Amino acid sequence: MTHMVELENPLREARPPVSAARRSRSRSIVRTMTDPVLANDIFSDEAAVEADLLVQESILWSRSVLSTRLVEASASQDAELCDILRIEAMYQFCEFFYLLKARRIETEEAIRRLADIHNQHLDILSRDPEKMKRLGLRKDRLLDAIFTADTLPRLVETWCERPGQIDQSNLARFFVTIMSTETCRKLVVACSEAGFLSRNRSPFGTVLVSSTGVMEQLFGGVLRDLRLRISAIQCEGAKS
Amino acid sequence: MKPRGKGRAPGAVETSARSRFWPSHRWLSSAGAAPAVIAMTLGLTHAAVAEIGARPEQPAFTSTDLTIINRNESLKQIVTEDPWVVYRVLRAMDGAARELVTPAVRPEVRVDPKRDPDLGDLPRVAPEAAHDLFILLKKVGQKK
Repeated sequence: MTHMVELENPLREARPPVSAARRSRSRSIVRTMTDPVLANDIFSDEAAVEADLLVQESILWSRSVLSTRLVEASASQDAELCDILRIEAMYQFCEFFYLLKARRIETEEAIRRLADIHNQHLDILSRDPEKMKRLGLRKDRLLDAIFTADTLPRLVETWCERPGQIDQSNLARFFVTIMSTETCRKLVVACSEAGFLSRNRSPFGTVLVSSTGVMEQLFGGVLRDLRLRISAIQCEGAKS
Repeated sequence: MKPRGKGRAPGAVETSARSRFWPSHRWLSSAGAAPAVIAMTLGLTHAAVAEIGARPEQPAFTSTDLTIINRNESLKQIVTEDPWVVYRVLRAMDGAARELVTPAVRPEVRVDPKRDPDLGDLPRVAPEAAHDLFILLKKVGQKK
């Protein structure tokens, strides 16, 4: 395991600090909810509620249509395979590959940085029993998912050999807080059969996967459609 | 929900696409054989075997299923009462949300990671973790 001293929480900078005003607003919402007269306050503006509902509909639509598009794009229409492409974890699986592409995480430096930030995150998380409990995680699982002096070189080497190529077990490490290793493996197998991932066995017996780009295109397309839908809702709201 | 493995001929080996995604490779193909194998694996009493055998249409557990059941005390207790509940729990662990155990049939069991090491993944909720992962990737992708 790589030794880390005085780690900075990688999520700290990304999240804006909660202001006193926001804290006060949160407390005010709680008070409102307990006051029977004010409990329906959020529903008093009918046009706003209508717009909110359209946003909700769009979000639900986007989750649903991604599954449909994945199945339509699959190289195989095997019923069992299609069932797996529709499971909830597949959304996060696609999202991860989309983010790698959209954030241009391609170089050796980028994958080293990702592994480093991932390790810092898991180290901090493993010392936060409350959050671990909230996420349904165990410390030993988190520690197993940290890139060590043994596993990090292989991650980098595989990535440099072919940008985006990753060992299946390392991929599961990145997903440790999201899904089980078994779910990750199952999705890799399914995506390989669907033509979304190429999956090869290395000379060392490990399974190497790399994306064919289909998932990223589909996820990006759904995200863009969602953005356009929501933009249209805002315009309608402004008109009314 | 349509139970898997139902109606398979005794002695038949599962050859469907399912085996590609579940690593057990060979399925206990006969509903009649399942209780005996469960009993042998879990070391159940004769009464418990008779109980399992008396119930029609038992689920077809894989060898992986049996290993997990054997490893988790709560599953071991429930499997003699209602193997279908255990079967559904195992399928839920496979990530198939459509097969999650419904509140109506879920027994009152508290998941203890020490007693049930494989059940720890069940209550996992993704939104917070998914947001964390998004932020991590955002940090990596940020231009210096």
